[in-house]
Amino acid sequence: MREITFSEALGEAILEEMERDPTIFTYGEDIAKQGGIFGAYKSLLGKFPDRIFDTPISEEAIYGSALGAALVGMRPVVEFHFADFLFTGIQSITLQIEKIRYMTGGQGKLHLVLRGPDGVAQSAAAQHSESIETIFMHVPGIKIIIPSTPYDMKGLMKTALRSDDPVICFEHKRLYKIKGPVPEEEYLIPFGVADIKREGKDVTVVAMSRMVHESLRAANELEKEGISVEMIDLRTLVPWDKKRVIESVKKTNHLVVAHETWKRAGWGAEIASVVQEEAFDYLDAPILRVGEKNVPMPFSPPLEEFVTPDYKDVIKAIKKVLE
Amino acid sequence: MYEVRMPKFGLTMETGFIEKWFKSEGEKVKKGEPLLEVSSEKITNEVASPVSGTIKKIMGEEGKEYKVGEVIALIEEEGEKEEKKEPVPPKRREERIKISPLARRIAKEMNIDLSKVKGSGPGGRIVKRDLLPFLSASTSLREVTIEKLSGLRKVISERLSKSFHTAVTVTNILEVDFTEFIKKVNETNVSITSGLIFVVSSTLKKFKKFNAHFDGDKLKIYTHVNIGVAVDTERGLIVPVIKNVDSLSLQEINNELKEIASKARSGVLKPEEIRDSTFTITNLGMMATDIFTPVINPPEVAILGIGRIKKGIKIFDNNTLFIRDMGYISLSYDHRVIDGADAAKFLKELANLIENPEI
Amino acid sequence: MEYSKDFLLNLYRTMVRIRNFELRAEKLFLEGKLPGFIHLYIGEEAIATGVMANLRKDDYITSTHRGHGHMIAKGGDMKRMMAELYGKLTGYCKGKGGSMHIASFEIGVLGANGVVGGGLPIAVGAGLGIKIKKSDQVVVAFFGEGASNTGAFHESLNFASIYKLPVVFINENNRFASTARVEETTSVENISDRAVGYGIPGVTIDGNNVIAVYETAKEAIRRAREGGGPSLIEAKTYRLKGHFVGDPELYRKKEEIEKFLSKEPIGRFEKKLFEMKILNKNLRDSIWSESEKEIDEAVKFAEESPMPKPEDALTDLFVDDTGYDY
Repeated sequence: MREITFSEALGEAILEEMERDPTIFTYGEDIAKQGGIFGAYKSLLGKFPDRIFDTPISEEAIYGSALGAALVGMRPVVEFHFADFLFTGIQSITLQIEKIRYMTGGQGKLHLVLRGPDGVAQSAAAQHSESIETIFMHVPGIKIIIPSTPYDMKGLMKTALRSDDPVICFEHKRLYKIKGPVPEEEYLIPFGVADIKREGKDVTVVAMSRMVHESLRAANELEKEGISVEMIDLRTLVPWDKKRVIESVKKTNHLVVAHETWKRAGWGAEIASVVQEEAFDYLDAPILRVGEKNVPMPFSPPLEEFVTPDYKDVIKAIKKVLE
Repeated sequence: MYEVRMPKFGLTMETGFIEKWFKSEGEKVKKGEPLLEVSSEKITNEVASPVSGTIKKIMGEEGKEYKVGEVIALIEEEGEKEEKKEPVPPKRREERIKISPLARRIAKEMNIDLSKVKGSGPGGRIVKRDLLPFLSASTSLREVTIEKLSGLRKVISERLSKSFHTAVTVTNILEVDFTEFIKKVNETNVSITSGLIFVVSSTLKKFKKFNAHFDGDKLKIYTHVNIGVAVDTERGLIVPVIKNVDSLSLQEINNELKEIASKARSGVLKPEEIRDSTFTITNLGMMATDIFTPVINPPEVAILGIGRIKKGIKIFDNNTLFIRDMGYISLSYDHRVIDGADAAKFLKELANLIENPEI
Repeated sequence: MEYSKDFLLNLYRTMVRIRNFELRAEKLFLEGKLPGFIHLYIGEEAIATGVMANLRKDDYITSTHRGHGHMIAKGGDMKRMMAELYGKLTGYCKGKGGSMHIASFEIGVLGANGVVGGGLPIAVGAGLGIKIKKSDQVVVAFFGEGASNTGAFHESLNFASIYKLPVVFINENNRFASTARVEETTSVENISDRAVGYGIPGVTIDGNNVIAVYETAKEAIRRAREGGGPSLIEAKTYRLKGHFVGDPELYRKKEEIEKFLSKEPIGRFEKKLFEMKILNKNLRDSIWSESEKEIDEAVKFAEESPMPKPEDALTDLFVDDTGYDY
């Protein structure tokens, strides 16, 4: 099977869907001329001049307008420059996009996709490094997809572009360049289906995005010590595959949730809480979470490294849980 | 009572040595006052008393090593003496046991007495691995699979139960020399079972009482002989019936038997083919069974079981021994209507026919 | 400009219908029949009426928390509106939105909005969608002068301007943003002056003159429809009632309200129609009583309609809610 990068997989998904569906158009800051700051749209440059354009720095208008466009029958794909900037236009998402369909008693189909990069990368510091998916899980009304491999990226984005519900997609900056197998034939990945990226029997690790790779690395290391780790990549946060996680915990009796976003009140807490509610009698130890330290992201590399979770933190958590 | 525990100084500290106690039993101590000195790896630390009160007991000995979290002393806190609380209800005591939810459930299911279990988890928590020694002591009932009875099995089980509980079943057993019988059966190219059916039929004609049905009140003796032949199939025991055996030739019996046995195994027997037997034969000779005590097929009054035919020693009248093909025939009969003497006579006649076959 | 008798009477009738609906809503609210809050459009009817008379059914509007007038003028069914105010299952939003979020996408009302300025980016988005699918529909975005100070306003006007979107921004300057007077919070006297900042045409008109509104809006809507881009119309009016029903109105004096009563739109237009001999007392009375009847029926419908079932709260969030935990 051919191998392409995460970024190429994203571009392919959008390109194929735009060719298939003329109501899809995409806009955001710095995308039309250079194909996005991480090159996600490189393959689209020059292809659909009417349907790709740059916007001014007006996040409320950008995200709010996606809603309006969807209401008149179009399918906008909006790139948010950095996940951090979702906050500058947060009103349009949490007060409007997430609410309109419900408030109007189900009248509208808000088929729109917000997508963009998030996560820690190379001293981008506090306003350009954050992962904030938890907020959109907390406020009901939007679906969340967070792919970790090129295969998942393409399949999930295609599903998002055909969904009649609003979707937000978080792509970790450090993943854009990773390569992975992606079939030539068309495929879609449904939401709410987790992927067991590694089977094991001693402990379950649930993660998404970059932490999937960190967890797999931790699993490989621990295998040498005879610890068998089952690694589940949720792939989508809303909805999330509760069934598969619980099945796994019933098998291994131990759970670690690893995410890059801050540990305190991160989505890992929700997973942990639900699992302890529904699989209490199967737990042989408390559920542990791995996440960023509860501070804004500092600039200097040793500081950034200290704050950011990695495979060593996952190993520590697994060992503690098996103590 | 305040429990003073071995403190944890570093992330990786697991045990500590008690170097020195600054206070002794009975002494008063104030919160924050140095209480003892603990060393771990290369660090020695002074431990301050966490509460004010009187040292009630010191369990941790100087120079000895204790796990982090282990209780090393008890301090009776100030004002504690006055407040004599009611005895704690038993439920509370159980809650004090540190145990994981999984382990608690297993302990409950397997009836393990938790007071006997030592926890190896953090803080002395009981976890699943601590229960394993207790699990292997109990039965491995957890590995059982549950099979629901198939319809057929249910019927069989009900009928056998009925027979067992109503008939007064006694089994007479006789050892028989099958050598000649086998020779004859091979010559005529029929199966042993067919031959047996033939001779049993003749015997039944003589001992009519065995060819009957009993309902607890009336004994119905039949003039024709229908022999049921127990056949073991995948689905269970089925007893197809050869009707009017007494009017069939040996060859005919053999053909019929082959046919219904195969039909039984493929499950295509019709209802009338498994009904109305007057006597049943069950042949376990192919399995490793020498003697057994078959259960009568109600409402019949007797059943003949054939065991394994294997090489055995027969002592003839002139005290000579020969190695012959020997087997046991077991006749179970309902003692409510048949006596032991009758059964013995039946078996004698049958054995005679077997040992002196003249078909 | 010559207008037909029917046309003028329809304008009048619409304003009367809006006025009566609002008065009745106020009455019902004070009787304790309506949950939540309602914000009345009384005194501002000319704006909704004048603008909507220019729109097709397939044109869109975005509204504000003070949205009943817009909805009625755009063709809203009073029965379903009243039912929504009551929180009934038969309301436009199945009882999930209430007065502040009332919407009917099928008649082009993209919703009242409880966030000041919230409708502006949505209107702009609708305009964007229309432009990309190359349709000749237009979007009218209603908003108050309070909203003209929000970030959303500035972003939206800029956005609509650079892409030349078919959006007409109608600023209903009713002088009060809740308790705050426009003079104290807004850096310009005429909000239409802000249009210059975004390179679009802007004009200030008397929002209580329904013909003036109609004619100005007509021009702006035509321009938008023909690809000429957005405009800003500031319609100055006066909010006769409190911000919401039950507002103690400690921020203004009764005398001030009385002063503006003489300038209110329906009275003025009625006087004109009488002068033109298009209206007489009988016709006037019958228009008012017919409107009352329409509202009586709406109230009856609402009161007889069922409440939504409690479990209905868990519906209408997603089109596809597979795997979603409520």
